[in-house]
Amino acid sequence: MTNETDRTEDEGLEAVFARARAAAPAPRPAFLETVMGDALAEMPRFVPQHTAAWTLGGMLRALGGWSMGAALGGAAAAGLAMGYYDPAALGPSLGVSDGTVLSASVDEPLLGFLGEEES
Amino acid sequence: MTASDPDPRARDAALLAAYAAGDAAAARTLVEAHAPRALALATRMLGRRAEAEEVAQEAMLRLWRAAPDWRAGEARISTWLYRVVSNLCTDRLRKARTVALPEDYDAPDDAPGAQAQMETDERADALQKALAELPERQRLAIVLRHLEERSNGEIAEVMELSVDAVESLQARGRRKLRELLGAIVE
Repeated sequence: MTNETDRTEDEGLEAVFARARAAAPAPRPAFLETVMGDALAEMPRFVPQHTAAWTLGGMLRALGGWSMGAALGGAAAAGLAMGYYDPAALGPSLGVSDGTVLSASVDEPLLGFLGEEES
Repeated sequence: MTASDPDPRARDAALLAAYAAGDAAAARTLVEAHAPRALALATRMLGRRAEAEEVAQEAMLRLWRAAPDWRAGEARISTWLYRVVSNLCTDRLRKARTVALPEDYDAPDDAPGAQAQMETDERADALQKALAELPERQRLAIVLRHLEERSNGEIAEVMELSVDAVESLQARGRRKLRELLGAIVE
């Protein structure tokens, strides 16, 4: 009987709780605005939303802008080309019409990179 | 295809990180989600709306200051905030008990200050008065469970007790409330 009484009274108490939950007043707007004001005042210094570093714009900005980016890009492309193409194919660009590698002194630091057909 | 709900701790940490990074929208989300909870608990614990607002504002201020160092996985914001609010309320209640009153002081009506702002519902007033009669820890355990509808696991975290201890507080608190509320409970 005690358990049943407890259960009944708990149901009654739960009804009181349910009514209290439903009747809970909303916060005053002024209170919420005060809290929001505190949030903004305490916020670490606002950092402008620049382009993220991992985007093209972010990387170019880090390099010093479009002109520097273009110069570096061109240098990179030239380096790739030198390493990739057959030196003979570069003949016309070096002023040699028959593909002969220009002779140079052994002191020339780039000789070792011009392939096997060195004269 | 629906993505599973992100872990609440991770979500809270991301929101606080966004706030700390200067995201005002994140601040608004945090205020709307958590300020009402802080205020509701403080109101139930203190019974006075003005005091409860002071406590809730202070608790939220501590959250803003903790945001830059908040570590993902540490705690849920709600748990952390409830603990801060309950500690602030305990401090206030203890100070209220230890302040000496003048000899001819006419003690004001003990009815909660929130009475003027809460509904005139007799039962709601009666519940608030009855809650004020409970020892603080029983009151906190009851309010968090039955009015804030938190799980006993979270309540145990807030109160830094075992779940068994929380349930014991709630059982004793409910028994006392039934006695105090009498006919209203039937």
